[in-house]
Amino acid sequence: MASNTIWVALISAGFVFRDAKRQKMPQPLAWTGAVLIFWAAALPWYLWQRHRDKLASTQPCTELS
Amino acid sequence: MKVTNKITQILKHELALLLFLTASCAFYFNPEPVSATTYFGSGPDPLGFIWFLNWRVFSAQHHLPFFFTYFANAPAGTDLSWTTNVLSLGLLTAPLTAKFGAFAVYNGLMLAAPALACWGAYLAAFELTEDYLAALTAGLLFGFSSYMLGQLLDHLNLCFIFAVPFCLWACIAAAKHGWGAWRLGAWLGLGLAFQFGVSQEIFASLVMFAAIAVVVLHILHRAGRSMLRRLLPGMALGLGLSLVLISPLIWDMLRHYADAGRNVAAAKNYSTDLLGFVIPTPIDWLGGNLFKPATKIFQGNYAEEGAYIGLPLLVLLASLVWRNRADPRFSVPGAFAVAAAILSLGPYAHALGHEMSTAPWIVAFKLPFLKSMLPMRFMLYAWLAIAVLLATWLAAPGRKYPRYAALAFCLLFLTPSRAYDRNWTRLTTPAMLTDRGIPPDSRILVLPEYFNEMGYQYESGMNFTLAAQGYLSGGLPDPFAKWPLYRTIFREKYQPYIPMVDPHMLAAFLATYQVQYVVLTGSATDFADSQTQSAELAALLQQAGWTAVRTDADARLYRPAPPQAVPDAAEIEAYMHVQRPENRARAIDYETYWVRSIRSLAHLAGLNAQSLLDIYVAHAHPPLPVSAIEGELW
Repeated sequence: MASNTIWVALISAGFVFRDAKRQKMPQPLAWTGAVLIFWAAALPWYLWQRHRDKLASTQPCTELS
Repeated sequence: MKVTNKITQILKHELALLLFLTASCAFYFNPEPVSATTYFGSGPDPLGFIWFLNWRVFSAQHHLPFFFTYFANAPAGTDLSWTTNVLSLGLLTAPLTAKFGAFAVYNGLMLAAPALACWGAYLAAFELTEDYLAALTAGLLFGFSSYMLGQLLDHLNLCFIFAVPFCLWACIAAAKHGWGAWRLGAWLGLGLAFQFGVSQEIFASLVMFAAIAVVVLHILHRAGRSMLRRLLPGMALGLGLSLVLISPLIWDMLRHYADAGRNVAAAKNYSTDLLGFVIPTPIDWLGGNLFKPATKIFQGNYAEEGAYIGLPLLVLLASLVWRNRADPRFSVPGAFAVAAAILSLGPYAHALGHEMSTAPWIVAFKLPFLKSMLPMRFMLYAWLAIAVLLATWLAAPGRKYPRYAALAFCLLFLTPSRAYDRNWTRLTTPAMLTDRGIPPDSRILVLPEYFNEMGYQYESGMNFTLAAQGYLSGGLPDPFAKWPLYRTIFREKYQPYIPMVDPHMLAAFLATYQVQYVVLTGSATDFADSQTQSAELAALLQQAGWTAVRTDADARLYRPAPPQAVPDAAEIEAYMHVQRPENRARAIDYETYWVRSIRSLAHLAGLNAQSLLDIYVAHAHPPLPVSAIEGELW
């Protein structure tokens, strides 16, 4: 059972590292480590942060009248 | 004027201690008539502590080694350095143990433990807030926290934790009054050395959490960094001084480091469940029994489940920390409590006993020394931080009545269950062990083993040594456990396999370790019912050539009928390669399944079953020898 949990954490951490680099998120290694050692808290947190960053980057610029 | 203030303050502190002692005694007082062998707690662990308290006196009186005994696991003996030997308590109470006996001293220590824990937290909170009522509340919360209530079920070494809040008090006092490094170092050194003698594990976790507290303080309290820099030399000095004081014990532990792993339970089996923070266990009065089906499947046991904070208190704490997140008086203990709670999840986070994620302790649980700590017990530090945080909140300016009312509502959910927590047990020792029916210094074996043997030995006045048994630490003792019959005759769960034990092997086992007497405990009814462990062991002993020489109402005494020769090395070696009875039973079950399946297949296909079975035996390499299958199944 322990090995299953570790595999899930490892695969998720790999995904997070690749994705964080692609999305140009700050500190991809820190996210990877966090997902590896506390998967249940860090992965949802990463996904939420990623979603927030994406929303922020797609906000339309305020037009000056 | 200053002297008067000082005296008033000391009297206030003494009054607080008296109040905590009264609360502890009133809550845990035994209303039943007390005998000399009644002890606080349940299970086998308290008897080990009682034995250790007595060992300090007994070993000194008889010039025996301090950290080694032949009275348990004879003839190999047991090293006591990696055990829960409560050295500090044994030394401090030695005169009392000599006068009143170890049972009375143990009971006194167990009743004093929550009161002293309360007092330690009270001192720290008072030093921080200077609010008497807030400090008293913090003390009560810590001393009767879920952690303490759980450990008070049977772990003297883990509930006598006065030194933990005491060290916090010393640090706060040093910061507040500008103590020098030597003064702080001296207090911390004494506190840490004392704690090491009570529990090496709490000492190690205390040092680790002190380091975490320094880091948290450094990050969240910028203004306090200069104060922290002033404290660090004193803290380092305290640690160094404690290491010097305990160096003989540390040296002995390092020499026997290889034994350590055997005594320590696995960290992943003693981790806080994610729901453990909000689901009460039977030690809690409100909802404890209602949620028993859920808490039963948590990791560890009720004594270790110290994480229950309760939903109302959790909400209150979260709102307090969030609203005051800019104030380090709230953010520092809040962050520290969260860190301790997360680390208590162990290497893998569980929800209702199901493993569901990795958790931060995964980076440490295999490291030397750190692997000896059980994560569930880290909640001790979370509780201390919670107590300090609440004291700060209660002492803050403004209307206090609503705060105390809100906290009282939250604490209602943490009310201990008197029926469950006030557990007193009476040890009944078989008369033949105490009336000198066995010659002094005999080597005996007590079966069936329910881990009471250390209590029996103490009650007999250390009249005998225990062969191949002696519950002073966890794990299976070497070299006895190498015998295939060991688990079968010593562990209750293997009782069904007792009839499969080879009587010759038992005779050889007893002769090898020069066992002179075997005491079988059990009533006449137990021995009359052939299905009981006592009756099955009696039958096995008789087959091994041992006869009952004395029969009492509560036990039987056996001796070998003719004196038995010690087997030679080759014979012992041959026994070591015999399959364990329970494994053999499992292999037979497995083979039975295959043989029946092959027979059914042959019957359905109209083939000759015997030839198919011959092919199976010849080519499938079943786990049992062919002769065994043929003998037992065909």
